Amino acid sequence: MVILMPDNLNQKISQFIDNELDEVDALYLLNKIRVKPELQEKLNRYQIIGQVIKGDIGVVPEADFVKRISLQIQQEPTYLLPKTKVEKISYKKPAAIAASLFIVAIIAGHSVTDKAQPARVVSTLQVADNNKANNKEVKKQEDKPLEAIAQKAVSPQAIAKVSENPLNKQISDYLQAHNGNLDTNNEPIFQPYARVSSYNQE
Amino acid sequence: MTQHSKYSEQLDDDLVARVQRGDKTAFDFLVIKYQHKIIQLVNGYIKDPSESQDVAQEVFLKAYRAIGSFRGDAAFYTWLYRIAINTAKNYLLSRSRRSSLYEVDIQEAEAIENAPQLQGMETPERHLLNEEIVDTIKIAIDNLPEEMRIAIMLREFEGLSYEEIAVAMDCPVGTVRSRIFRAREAIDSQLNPLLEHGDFDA
Repeated sequence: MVILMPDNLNQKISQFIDNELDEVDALYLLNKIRVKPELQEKLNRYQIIGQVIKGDIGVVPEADFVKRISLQIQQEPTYLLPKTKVEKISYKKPAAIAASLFIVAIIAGHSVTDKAQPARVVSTLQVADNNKANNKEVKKQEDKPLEAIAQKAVSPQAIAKVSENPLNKQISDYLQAHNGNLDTNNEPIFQPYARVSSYNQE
Repeated sequence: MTQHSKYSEQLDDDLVARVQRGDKTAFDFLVIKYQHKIIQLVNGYIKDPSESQDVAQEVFLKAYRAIGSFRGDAAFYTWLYRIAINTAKNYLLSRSRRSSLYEVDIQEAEAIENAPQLQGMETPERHLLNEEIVDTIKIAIDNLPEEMRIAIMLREFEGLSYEEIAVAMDCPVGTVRSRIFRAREAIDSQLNPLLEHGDFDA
């Protein structure tokens, strides 16, 4: 930075009160004014001139006005603004949204896949029922579209038939009692049992 | 936004950010920059140069304490002016309440009405000095070379930027800057001895 001579500093003061001084020079000048009372007085006189031209003599700040405030502020606690990190947030936001969408897509994908599982449910129930004929029927259903299979899987007749078997009833009761556990154990065979049970309840 | 106000607001934003990071010196710069305007604004309400200094000091302290909540939605000076106006109004309100605490008869009421704190604290000596200051500045302006007088009048009276003055006077911006500075220096050379002898501090 160029070291300014006093006259240059006065010119900078003139520019400063007209808001015509760029930020770097303004900060340099403010640093000088802060420590040199004669520059502060010059600033005040220039401002008086401006006020008289505007038609009002006004009030001139006392010589120690800035110093008094400065001393009081030194005794004040420092008021810090919490760091917002605006720029970083702006970069993270799209990534967070993308990640959220990705997770939603995975969950949605899983739930679509789960719709295919009633076929397995029925087949599992039929294994429990030991009914080979029904087993074949379900295998045929597996070749059908998913929705039709799902409807068949939860049809009241199938469930009623399954429930007739005491073993199935036991399993059904157990699953109703431990529904949450089965939903979280990631066993693809057991989870649909729970669903069949809940349908059965309805 | 004009160039000169852009410089000013950039500087304010930078200084406010520094204060919010805990740099108290940056607040001194804001006080230097706005002390004159705030004191004039407060004095417009309070009409007492001495009390205006105290209230203006309170304005800056309030601003410092609240600067953490300043988010830059409005310009800093707008925010500061709002604090100044509210503080001045509150001061007037509390002063009128203090007055109403006393039971007064008609004569006392008349005395209070004529009391200097309700009319402004301008003493005869100060009034004379103010008149002298105004006269000195006016004479100094009249004695300026024409191009300097027009330049400073366009700046101070009309509020034009250097660029606008350059267009109006058909000369480079650097010439405008120099003319305004030399005009101020010429006026100040007449004003400074008067202020030194007159002990004009507020």
